[in-house]
Amino acid sequence: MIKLIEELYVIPDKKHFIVYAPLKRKILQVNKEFVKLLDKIRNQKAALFGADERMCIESLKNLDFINASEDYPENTFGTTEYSPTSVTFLPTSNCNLQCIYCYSNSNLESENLSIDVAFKAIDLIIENALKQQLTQIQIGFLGGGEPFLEWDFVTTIIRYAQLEAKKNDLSTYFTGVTNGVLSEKKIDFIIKNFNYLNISIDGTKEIQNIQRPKKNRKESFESVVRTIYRLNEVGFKFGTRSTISSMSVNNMIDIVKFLNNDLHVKKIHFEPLHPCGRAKMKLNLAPDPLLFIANFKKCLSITSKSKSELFCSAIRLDTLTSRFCGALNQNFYVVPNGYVTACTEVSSIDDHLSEIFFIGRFDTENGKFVFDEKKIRALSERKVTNIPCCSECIAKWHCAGACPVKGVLAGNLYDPSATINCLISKELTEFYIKSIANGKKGLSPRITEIYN
Amino acid sequence: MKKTKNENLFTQDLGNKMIKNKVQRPEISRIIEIKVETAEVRCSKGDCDGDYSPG
Repeated sequence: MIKLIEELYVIPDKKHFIVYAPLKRKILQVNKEFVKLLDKIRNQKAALFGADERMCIESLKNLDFINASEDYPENTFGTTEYSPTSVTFLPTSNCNLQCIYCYSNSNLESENLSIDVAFKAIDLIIENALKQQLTQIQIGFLGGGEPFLEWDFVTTIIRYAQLEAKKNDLSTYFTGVTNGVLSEKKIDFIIKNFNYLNISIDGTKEIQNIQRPKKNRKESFESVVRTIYRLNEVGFKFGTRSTISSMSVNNMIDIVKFLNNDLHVKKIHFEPLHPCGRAKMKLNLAPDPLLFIANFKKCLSITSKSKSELFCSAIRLDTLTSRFCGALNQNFYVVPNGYVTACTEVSSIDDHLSEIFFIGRFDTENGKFVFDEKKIRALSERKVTNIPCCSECIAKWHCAGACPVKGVLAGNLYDPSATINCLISKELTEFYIKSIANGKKGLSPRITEIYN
Repeated sequence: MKKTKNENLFTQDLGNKMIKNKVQRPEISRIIEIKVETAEVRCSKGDCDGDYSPG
Protein backbone atom coordinates (compact mmCIF):
# COMPACT_ATOMS: atom_id res chain seq x y z
CA MET A 1 0.00 0.00 0.00
CA ILE A 2 1.24 3.46 -0.80
CA LYS A 3 0.36 6.36 1.42
CA LEU A 4 0.80 10.02 0.62
CA ILE A 5 1.95 12.42 3.28
CA GLU A 6 -0.90 14.40 4.84
CA GLU A 7 0.53 17.89 4.58
CA LEU A 8 0.22 18.42 0.86
CA TYR A 9 -1.57 21.38 -0.68
CA VAL A 10 -2.59 21.86 -4.31
CA ILE A 11 -3.20 25.28 -5.82
CA PRO A 12 -4.09 26.08 -9.43
CA ASP A 13 -1.75 28.49 -11.18
CA LYS A 14 -2.30 29.64 -14.77
CA LYS A 15 -1.46 26.62 -16.97
CA HIS A 16 -0.06 24.54 -14.12
CA PHE A 17 -0.84 23.32 -10.67
CA ILE A 18 1.39 23.81 -7.70
CA VAL A 19 1.87 21.14 -5.06
CA TYR A 20 3.19 22.51 -1.80
CA ALA A 21 4.60 20.30 0.95
CA PRO A 22 5.43 22.72 3.80
CA LEU A 23 6.91 20.14 6.17
CA LYS A 24 9.14 18.77 3.40
CA ARG A 25 10.08 22.31 2.30
CA LYS A 26 9.26 21.48 -1.31
CA ILE A 27 7.23 23.02 -4.11
CA LEU A 28 6.33 21.14 -7.29
CA GLN A 29 4.97 22.54 -10.50
CA VAL A 30 2.80 19.83 -12.06
CA ASN A 31 0.08 19.27 -14.62
CA LYS A 32 -3.58 18.43 -14.10
CA GLU A 33 -2.97 14.70 -14.58
CA PHE A 34 -0.47 14.71 -11.79
CA VAL A 35 -3.06 16.24 -9.48
CA LYS A 36 -5.47 13.50 -10.51
CA LEU A 37 -2.81 10.93 -9.70
CA LEU A 38 -2.35 12.43 -6.25
CA ASP A 39 -6.09 12.15 -5.74
CA LYS A 40 -5.99 8.53 -6.93
CA ILE A 41 -3.22 7.67 -4.50
CA ARG A 42 -4.82 9.58 -1.64
CA ASN A 43 -8.17 7.85 -2.08
CA GLN A 44 -6.70 4.48 -3.03
CA LYS A 45 -8.92 4.57 -6.11
CA ALA A 46 -6.82 2.18 -8.13
CA ALA A 47 -4.87 -0.89 -7.24
CA LEU A 48 -2.94 -0.71 -10.50
CA PHE A 49 -1.12 2.22 -11.91
CA GLY A 50 0.05 2.76 -15.49
CA ALA A 51 3.71 2.98 -16.44
CA ASP A 52 3.71 6.82 -16.43
CA GLU A 53 1.96 6.87 -13.10
CA ARG A 54 4.45 4.42 -11.62
CA MET A 55 7.27 6.72 -12.72
CA CYS A 56 5.63 9.63 -10.96
CA ILE A 57 5.11 7.51 -7.85
CA GLU A 58 8.83 6.76 -7.86
CA SER A 59 9.53 10.49 -8.06
CA LEU A 60 7.16 11.06 -5.15
CA LYS A 61 9.00 8.41 -3.14
CA ASN A 62 12.31 10.11 -3.90
CA LEU A 63 10.82 13.38 -2.74
CA ASP A 64 9.83 11.72 0.53
CA PHE A 65 6.15 12.30 -0.18
CA ILE A 66 5.13 8.63 0.01
CA ASN A 67 5.19 6.33 3.02
CA ALA A 68 7.22 9.00 4.78
CA SER A 69 7.11 10.33 8.30
CA GLU A 70 5.92 13.85 8.94
CA ASP A 71 7.24 15.48 12.05
CA TYR A 72 5.18 18.40 13.22
CA PRO A 73 7.24 21.35 14.40
CA GLU A 74 6.11 21.18 18.02
CA ASN A 75 8.74 23.19 19.81
CA THR A 76 10.01 25.84 17.50
CA PHE A 77 11.21 27.99 20.33
CA GLY A 78 12.84 26.50 23.37
CA THR A 79 11.69 23.63 25.50
CA THR A 80 8.16 22.56 26.37
CA GLU A 81 8.66 23.41 30.01
CA TYR A 82 8.41 27.12 30.82
CA SER A 83 12.00 28.06 31.49
CA PRO A 84 12.80 31.36 29.76
CA THR A 85 16.36 32.33 28.99
CA SER A 86 15.42 35.71 27.64
CA VAL A 87 13.60 38.55 29.31
CA THR A 88 12.03 41.66 27.89
CA PHE A 89 11.47 44.66 30.11
CA LEU A 90 8.74 47.19 29.65
CA PRO A 91 10.31 49.77 31.96
CA THR A 92 7.68 52.47 31.67
CA SER A 93 4.30 53.40 30.33
CA ASN A 94 5.54 56.97 29.72
CA CYS A 95 6.28 58.01 26.19
CA ASN A 96 7.66 61.05 24.39
CA LEU A 97 5.34 60.34 21.47
CA GLN A 98 1.56 60.27 21.34
CA CYS A 99 0.89 57.81 18.50
CA ILE A 100 -2.71 57.88 17.38
CA TYR A 101 -3.05 54.10 17.56
CA CYS A 102 -0.76 53.16 20.49
CA TYR A 103 -1.52 49.56 21.48
CA SER A 104 -0.50 50.12 25.06
CA ASN A 105 -2.39 53.39 25.48
CA SER A 106 0.78 54.98 26.81
CA ASN A 107 0.88 58.13 28.93
CA LEU A 108 -2.47 57.36 30.57
CA GLU A 109 -0.96 56.27 33.83
CA SER A 110 2.64 56.70 34.79
CA GLU A 111 4.15 53.46 36.07
CA ASN A 112 7.76 52.34 36.20
CA LEU A 113 9.44 49.02 36.75
CA SER A 114 11.53 48.55 39.87
CA ILE A 115 15.22 47.86 39.25
CA ASP A 116 15.30 45.17 41.97
CA VAL A 117 12.56 43.22 40.23
CA ALA A 118 14.50 43.50 36.97
CA PHE A 119 17.68 42.19 38.65
CA LYS A 120 15.71 39.14 39.84
CA ALA A 121 14.45 38.55 36.31
CA ILE A 122 18.03 38.50 35.02
CA ASP A 123 19.07 36.15 37.83
CA LEU A 124 16.25 33.83 36.78
CA ILE A 125 17.17 33.68 33.09
CA ILE A 126 20.81 33.07 33.99
CA GLU A 127 19.73 30.20 36.23
CA ASN A 128 17.58 28.76 33.42
CA ALA A 129 20.33 29.15 30.81
CA LEU A 130 22.79 27.30 33.04
CA LYS A 131 20.27 24.50 33.68
CA GLN A 132 19.73 24.14 29.94
CA GLN A 133 23.47 24.35 29.29
CA LEU A 134 23.02 27.33 27.00
CA THR A 135 25.72 29.87 26.36
CA GLN A 136 23.73 33.04 26.01
CA ILE A 137 21.02 35.11 27.65
CA GLN A 138 18.93 37.69 25.82
CA ILE A 139 17.60 40.91 27.23
CA GLY A 140 15.17 43.19 25.46
CA PHE A 141 13.64 46.60 26.14
CA LEU A 142 10.24 47.46 24.79
CA GLY A 143 7.22 49.75 25.27
CA GLY A 144 4.63 50.13 27.21
CA GLY A 145 5.82 53.60 26.50
CA GLU A 146 9.29 54.48 25.19
CA PRO A 147 11.71 52.18 27.06
CA PHE A 148 14.71 54.47 26.63
CA LEU A 149 13.03 57.25 28.58
CA GLU A 150 13.99 55.20 31.64
CA TRP A 151 17.63 55.61 30.76
CA ASP A 152 19.11 54.93 34.20
CA PHE A 153 17.09 51.73 34.36
CA VAL A 154 18.34 50.59 30.94
CA THR A 155 22.02 51.32 31.59
CA THR A 156 21.93 49.79 35.08
CA ILE A 157 20.30 46.63 33.76
CA ILE A 158 22.81 46.31 30.95
CA ARG A 159 25.76 46.64 33.32
CA TYR A 160 24.22 44.18 35.75
CA ALA A 161 23.44 41.63 33.03
CA GLN A 162 26.92 41.95 31.50
CA LEU A 163 28.53 41.45 34.88
CA GLU A 164 26.36 38.51 35.98
CA ALA A 165 26.61 36.81 32.59
CA LYS A 166 30.38 37.10 32.63
CA LYS A 167 30.52 35.53 36.10
CA ASN A 168 28.65 32.54 34.68
CA ASP A 169 30.51 32.28 31.37
CA LEU A 170 27.48 33.40 29.42
CA SER A 171 27.31 35.88 26.58
CA THR A 172 24.65 38.55 26.31
CA TYR A 173 22.41 39.71 23.47
CA PHE A 174 20.67 43.06 23.92
CA THR A 175 17.80 44.27 21.78
CA GLY A 176 15.54 47.27 21.99
CA VAL A 177 12.40 48.56 20.36
CA THR A 178 12.27 52.33 20.22
CA ASN A 179 10.41 55.17 18.58
CA GLY A 180 13.82 56.49 17.52
CA VAL A 181 13.52 59.88 19.19
CA LEU A 182 16.84 59.57 20.99
CA SER A 183 19.64 61.88 22.08
CA GLU A 184 23.15 61.53 20.67
CA LYS A 185 24.35 60.23 24.02
CA LYS A 186 21.75 57.45 24.06
CA ILE A 187 22.43 56.47 20.46
CA ASP A 188 26.16 56.20 21.20
CA PHE A 189 25.48 53.98 24.21
CA ILE A 190 23.16 51.75 22.15
CA ILE A 191 25.75 51.40 19.39
CA LYS A 192 28.34 50.38 21.95
CA ASN A 193 26.23 47.97 24.02
CA PHE A 194 23.28 46.68 21.99
CA ASN A 195 23.22 43.97 19.36
CA TYR A 196 20.07 45.00 17.53
CA LEU A 197 17.54 47.79 17.49
CA ASN A 198 14.06 47.96 16.05
CA ILE A 199 12.87 51.45 15.21
CA SER A 200 9.23 52.30 14.74
CA ILE A 201 8.78 54.65 11.80
CA ASP A 202 5.56 54.80 9.85
CA GLY A 203 7.05 56.09 6.67
CA THR A 204 7.43 59.33 4.84
CA LYS A 205 7.41 62.65 6.65
CA GLU A 206 3.71 63.40 6.36
CA ILE A 207 2.51 59.97 7.52
CA GLN A 208 5.04 59.75 10.35
CA ASN A 209 4.07 63.15 11.70
CA ILE A 210 0.35 62.42 11.54
CA GLN A 211 0.49 58.92 13.02
CA ARG A 212 3.40 59.35 15.41
CA PRO A 213 3.52 62.93 16.69
CA LYS A 214 5.52 63.90 19.74
CA LYS A 215 3.71 64.18 23.04
CA ASN A 216 3.99 67.96 22.74
CA ARG A 217 2.32 67.71 19.28
CA LYS A 218 5.56 68.54 17.49
CA GLU A 219 6.81 66.52 14.54
CA SER A 220 8.89 63.41 15.20
CA PHE A 221 10.09 62.65 11.66
CA GLU A 222 13.41 64.52 11.66
CA SER A 223 14.51 63.05 15.01
CA VAL A 224 13.83 59.46 13.91
CA VAL A 225 15.57 59.90 10.56
CA ARG A 226 18.59 61.41 12.32
CA THR A 227 18.83 58.28 14.50
CA ILE A 228 18.68 56.02 11.44
CA TYR A 229 21.39 58.02 9.65
CA ARG A 230 23.63 57.70 12.69
CA LEU A 231 23.11 53.92 12.91
CA ASN A 232 23.84 53.58 9.19
CA GLU A 233 27.03 55.60 9.56
CA VAL A 234 28.53 53.06 11.94
CA GLY A 235 26.95 49.97 10.34
CA PHE A 236 24.83 49.10 13.39
CA LYS A 237 22.26 46.33 12.79
CA PHE A 238 18.72 47.59 12.95
CA GLY A 239 15.32 47.15 11.38
CA THR A 240 12.23 49.29 11.09
CA ARG A 241 8.63 48.60 11.83
CA SER A 242 5.85 50.54 10.15
CA THR A 243 2.27 50.30 11.23
CA ILE A 244 0.08 50.51 8.16
CA SER A 245 -3.21 52.26 8.76
CA SER A 246 -6.17 53.15 6.56
CA MET A 247 -4.41 56.49 6.04
CA SER A 248 -1.13 54.99 4.85
CA VAL A 249 -2.18 51.78 3.08
CA ASN A 250 -2.17 53.53 -0.29
CA ASN A 251 1.27 54.96 0.39
CA MET A 252 2.97 51.63 1.10
CA ILE A 253 5.04 51.78 -2.08
CA ASP A 254 6.29 55.30 -1.27
CA ILE A 255 7.05 54.17 2.27
CA VAL A 256 9.04 51.14 1.18
CA LYS A 257 10.93 53.22 -1.40
CA PHE A 258 11.77 55.78 1.26
CA LEU A 259 12.93 53.20 3.79
CA ASN A 260 14.75 51.07 1.24
CA ASN A 261 16.25 53.66 -1.10
CA ASP A 262 16.69 56.74 1.07
CA LEU A 263 17.28 55.29 4.52
CA HIS A 264 18.91 52.02 3.35
CA VAL A 265 16.96 49.92 5.82
CA LYS A 266 17.73 46.25 5.29
CA LYS A 267 14.93 44.83 7.39
CA ILE A 268 11.53 46.42 6.87
CA HIS A 269 8.58 45.21 8.88
CA PHE A 270 5.06 46.26 7.80
CA GLU A 271 2.21 45.39 10.10
CA PRO A 272 -1.44 46.25 9.49
CA LEU A 273 -2.88 48.38 12.27
CA HIS A 274 -4.99 46.41 14.63
CA PRO A 275 -7.58 48.31 16.62
CA CYS A 276 -6.36 47.87 20.17
CA GLY A 277 -5.22 50.29 22.88
CA ARG A 278 -5.79 53.87 21.75
CA ALA A 279 -6.87 52.72 18.28
CA LYS A 280 -9.84 50.85 19.75
CA MET A 281 -11.66 54.15 19.79
CA LYS A 282 -10.93 54.72 16.10
CA LEU A 283 -12.01 51.57 14.29
CA ASN A 284 -11.67 53.19 10.87
CA LEU A 285 -7.88 53.32 11.33
CA ALA A 286 -7.48 49.66 10.35
CA PRO A 287 -6.44 49.26 6.69
CA ASP A 288 -8.48 47.42 4.09
CA PRO A 289 -6.74 44.00 4.10
CA LEU A 290 -7.12 43.58 0.34
CA LEU A 291 -5.36 46.89 -0.27
CA PHE A 292 -2.66 45.88 2.20
CA ILE A 293 -2.13 42.60 0.34
CA ALA A 294 -2.06 44.18 -3.12
CA ASN A 295 0.39 46.87 -2.06
CA PHE A 296 2.57 44.47 -0.08
CA LYS A 297 3.06 42.42 -3.26
CA LYS A 298 4.15 45.53 -5.15
CA CYS A 299 6.51 46.50 -2.32
CA LEU A 300 8.13 43.06 -2.49
CA SER A 301 9.21 43.68 -6.05
CA ILE A 302 11.14 46.73 -4.80
CA THR A 303 12.85 45.10 -1.82
CA SER A 304 13.68 41.87 -3.65
CA LYS A 305 15.82 43.86 -6.13
CA SER A 306 17.87 45.43 -3.37
CA LYS A 307 18.24 42.29 -1.26
CA SER A 308 16.59 43.92 1.72
CA GLU A 309 13.90 42.10 3.60
CA LEU A 310 10.25 43.11 3.73
CA PHE A 311 8.14 41.10 6.09
CA CYS A 312 4.92 40.97 8.03
CA SER A 313 4.10 38.66 10.93
CA ALA A 314 1.32 37.09 8.87
CA ILE A 315 3.71 35.85 6.18
CA ARG A 316 6.60 33.72 7.30
CA LEU A 317 7.51 31.10 4.75
CA ASP A 318 10.88 30.65 6.45
CA THR A 319 9.25 29.64 9.72
CA LEU A 320 7.75 26.24 10.48
CA THR A 321 5.95 26.28 13.77
CA SER A 322 2.90 24.99 15.54
CA ARG A 323 2.60 28.13 17.67
CA PHE A 324 2.37 31.65 16.32
CA CYS A 325 4.73 33.31 18.76
CA GLY A 326 6.52 33.15 22.07
CA ALA A 327 3.37 34.29 23.91
CA LEU A 328 2.33 30.64 23.59
CA ASN A 329 5.65 29.32 24.77
CA GLN A 330 8.55 31.07 26.49
CA ASN A 331 7.84 34.80 26.54
CA PHE A 332 8.89 36.48 29.76
CA TYR A 333 7.91 40.13 29.58
CA VAL A 334 8.14 42.06 32.81
CA VAL A 335 5.84 45.08 32.98
CA PRO A 336 6.05 48.16 35.25
CA ASN A 337 4.24 46.75 38.29
CA GLY A 338 6.24 43.54 38.39
CA TYR A 339 3.67 41.43 36.58
CA VAL A 340 4.76 39.02 33.88
CA THR A 341 2.89 39.11 30.61
CA ALA A 342 3.24 36.69 27.71
CA CYS A 343 2.44 39.41 25.20
CA THR A 344 3.51 43.04 24.86
CA GLU A 345 0.10 43.93 23.54
CA VAL A 346 -1.34 43.14 26.95
CA SER A 347 0.79 45.19 29.29
CA SER A 348 -1.66 46.41 31.94
CA ILE A 349 -3.43 44.44 34.64
CA ASP A 350 -6.48 46.60 33.89
CA ASP A 351 -6.72 45.12 30.41
CA HIS A 352 -9.36 42.37 30.48
CA LEU A 353 -7.01 40.20 28.40
CA SER A 354 -4.62 40.10 31.33
CA GLU A 355 -6.76 37.24 32.64
CA ILE A 356 -5.34 35.15 29.81
CA PHE A 357 -1.92 36.68 29.15
CA PHE A 358 -0.64 37.70 32.59
CA ILE A 359 1.22 34.55 33.52
CA GLY A 360 3.06 35.55 36.68
CA ARG A 361 4.25 38.26 39.02
CA PHE A 362 7.11 39.14 41.27
CA ASP A 363 6.33 38.01 44.81
CA THR A 364 7.86 40.68 47.04
CA GLU A 365 7.47 38.56 50.19
CA ASN A 366 9.52 35.68 48.84
CA GLY A 367 11.69 37.83 46.60
CA LYS A 368 11.11 35.71 43.50
CA PHE A 369 8.91 35.35 40.46
CA VAL A 370 5.89 33.10 40.72
CA PHE A 371 4.20 31.75 37.62
CA ASP A 372 0.70 30.53 36.93
CA GLU A 373 1.43 27.10 35.44
CA LYS A 374 -2.23 26.61 34.52
CA LYS A 375 -2.29 29.75 32.38
CA ILE A 376 1.05 28.91 30.77
CA ARG A 377 -0.24 25.44 29.92
CA ALA A 378 -3.48 26.87 28.54
CA LEU A 379 -1.55 29.25 26.27
CA SER A 380 0.83 26.53 25.09
CA GLU A 381 -2.18 24.45 24.03
CA ARG A 382 -3.05 27.10 21.49
CA LYS A 383 -1.29 25.19 18.73
CA VAL A 384 -2.32 25.12 15.10
CA THR A 385 -3.26 21.44 15.43
CA ASN A 386 -5.91 22.51 17.97
CA ILE A 387 -7.40 25.25 15.78
CA PRO A 388 -10.13 23.68 13.60
CA CYS A 389 -10.38 26.49 11.02
CA CYS A 390 -6.65 26.16 10.20
CA SER A 391 -6.72 22.46 9.38
CA GLU A 392 -6.95 22.88 5.58
CA CYS A 393 -5.03 26.14 5.29
CA ILE A 394 -1.91 26.33 3.15
CA ALA A 395 -0.34 28.81 5.60
CA LYS A 396 -0.97 26.73 8.69
CA TRP A 397 2.62 25.73 9.52
CA HIS A 398 3.89 29.25 8.92
CA CYS A 399 1.18 31.35 10.49
CA ALA A 400 0.15 28.76 13.11
CA GLY A 401 -3.21 30.30 13.87
CA ALA A 402 -2.01 33.93 13.79
CA CYS A 403 -1.82 36.29 16.73
CA PRO A 404 -3.66 34.92 19.77
CA VAL A 405 -4.47 38.39 21.12
CA LYS A 406 -6.13 39.36 17.87
CA GLY A 407 -8.03 36.07 17.94
CA VAL A 408 -9.40 36.82 21.41
CA LEU A 409 -10.31 40.36 20.41
CA ALA A 410 -12.15 38.99 17.38
CA GLY A 411 -14.15 36.75 19.69
CA ASN A 412 -12.32 33.43 20.08
CA LEU A 413 -8.75 32.45 20.98
CA TYR A 414 -9.19 29.32 18.86
CA ASP A 415 -10.73 31.00 15.83
CA PRO A 416 -8.54 33.55 14.04
CA SER A 417 -10.63 33.41 10.86
CA ALA A 418 -12.30 36.74 11.57
CA THR A 419 -8.99 38.62 11.86
CA ILE A 420 -7.52 40.47 8.91
CA ASN A 421 -4.19 38.74 9.57
CA CYS A 422 -5.81 35.42 8.66
CA LEU A 423 -6.76 36.66 5.21
CA ILE A 424 -3.39 38.36 4.72
CA SER A 425 -1.57 35.20 5.75
CA LYS A 426 -3.47 32.94 3.34
CA GLU A 427 -3.21 35.31 0.39
CA LEU A 428 0.43 36.23 0.81
CA THR A 429 1.58 32.68 1.57
CA GLU A 430 -0.06 31.54 -1.65
CA PHE A 431 1.51 34.46 -3.50
CA TYR A 432 5.01 33.57 -2.22
CA ILE A 433 4.59 29.92 -3.18
CA LYS A 434 3.33 30.76 -6.66
CA SER A 435 6.11 33.29 -7.17
CA ILE A 436 8.79 30.78 -6.17
CA ALA A 437 7.22 28.08 -8.35
CA ASN A 438 7.41 30.47 -11.27
CA GLY A 439 11.09 31.14 -10.77
CA LYS A 440 10.96 34.40 -8.83
CA LYS A 441 13.91 34.66 -6.50
CA GLY A 442 14.82 36.97 -3.68
CA LEU A 443 11.40 37.53 -2.07
CA SER A 444 13.02 36.95 1.27
CA PRO A 445 16.75 36.90 2.01
CA ARG A 446 16.00 34.18 4.56
CA ILE A 447 14.92 31.77 1.83
CA THR A 448 17.11 30.11 -0.75
CA GLU A 449 15.30 28.46 -3.60
CA ILE A 450 16.94 25.46 -5.28
CA TYR A 451 15.41 24.68 -8.65
CA ASN A 452 15.69 21.14 -9.99
CA MET B 1 6.29 11.33 -52.31
CA LYS B 2 3.52 13.81 -52.57
CA LYS B 3 1.00 13.63 -49.83
CA THR B 4 -2.69 13.50 -50.57
CA LYS B 5 -5.11 15.69 -48.73
CA ASN B 6 -6.30 12.66 -46.81
CA GLU B 7 -2.81 11.65 -45.84
CA ASN B 8 -2.18 15.13 -44.54
CA LEU B 9 -5.32 14.96 -42.48
CA PHE B 10 -4.31 11.57 -41.15
CA THR B 11 -0.85 12.84 -40.15
CA GLN B 12 -2.35 15.90 -38.51
CA ASP B 13 -4.84 13.77 -36.64
CA LEU B 14 -2.15 11.43 -35.37
CA GLY B 15 -0.04 14.39 -34.33
CA ASN B 16 -2.92 15.86 -32.37
CA LYS B 17 -3.49 12.53 -30.67
CA MET B 18 0.16 12.32 -29.77
CA ILE B 19 0.12 15.83 -28.33
CA LYS B 20 -3.05 14.96 -26.46
CA ASN B 21 -1.46 11.80 -25.11
CA LYS B 22 1.57 13.76 -23.98
CA VAL B 23 -0.60 16.20 -22.05
CA GLN B 24 -2.49 13.32 -20.45
CA ARG B 25 0.64 11.91 -18.82
CA PRO B 26 1.13 13.04 -15.23
CA GLU B 27 4.21 15.24 -15.13
CA ILE B 28 6.30 17.22 -12.72
CA SER B 29 7.75 20.16 -14.60
CA ARG B 30 9.68 21.70 -11.73
CA ILE B 31 10.85 20.79 -8.25
CA ILE B 32 11.91 23.53 -5.92
CA GLU B 33 13.53 22.96 -2.60
CA ILE B 34 13.29 25.76 -0.06
CA LYS B 35 16.31 26.20 2.13
CA VAL B 36 15.90 28.38 5.15
CA GLU B 37 17.72 29.43 8.20
CA THR B 38 15.05 29.20 10.83
CA ALA B 39 14.61 31.64 13.69
CA GLU B 40 15.83 29.07 16.19
CA VAL B 41 19.03 28.49 14.21
CA ARG B 42 19.61 32.21 13.87
CA CYS B 43 18.93 32.79 17.55
CA SER B 44 21.23 29.93 18.54
CA LYS B 45 23.96 31.78 16.66
CA GLY B 46 23.10 34.89 18.62
CA ASP B 47 21.54 36.59 15.64
CA CYS B 48 17.90 37.03 16.53
CA ASP B 49 17.62 40.36 14.74
CA GLY B 50 14.49 41.24 16.62
CA ASP B 51 12.49 38.39 15.18
CA TYR B 52 8.78 38.71 15.74
CA SER B 53 8.23 37.66 19.35
CA PRO B 54 11.05 35.15 19.64
CA GLY B 55 10.14 32.83 22.44
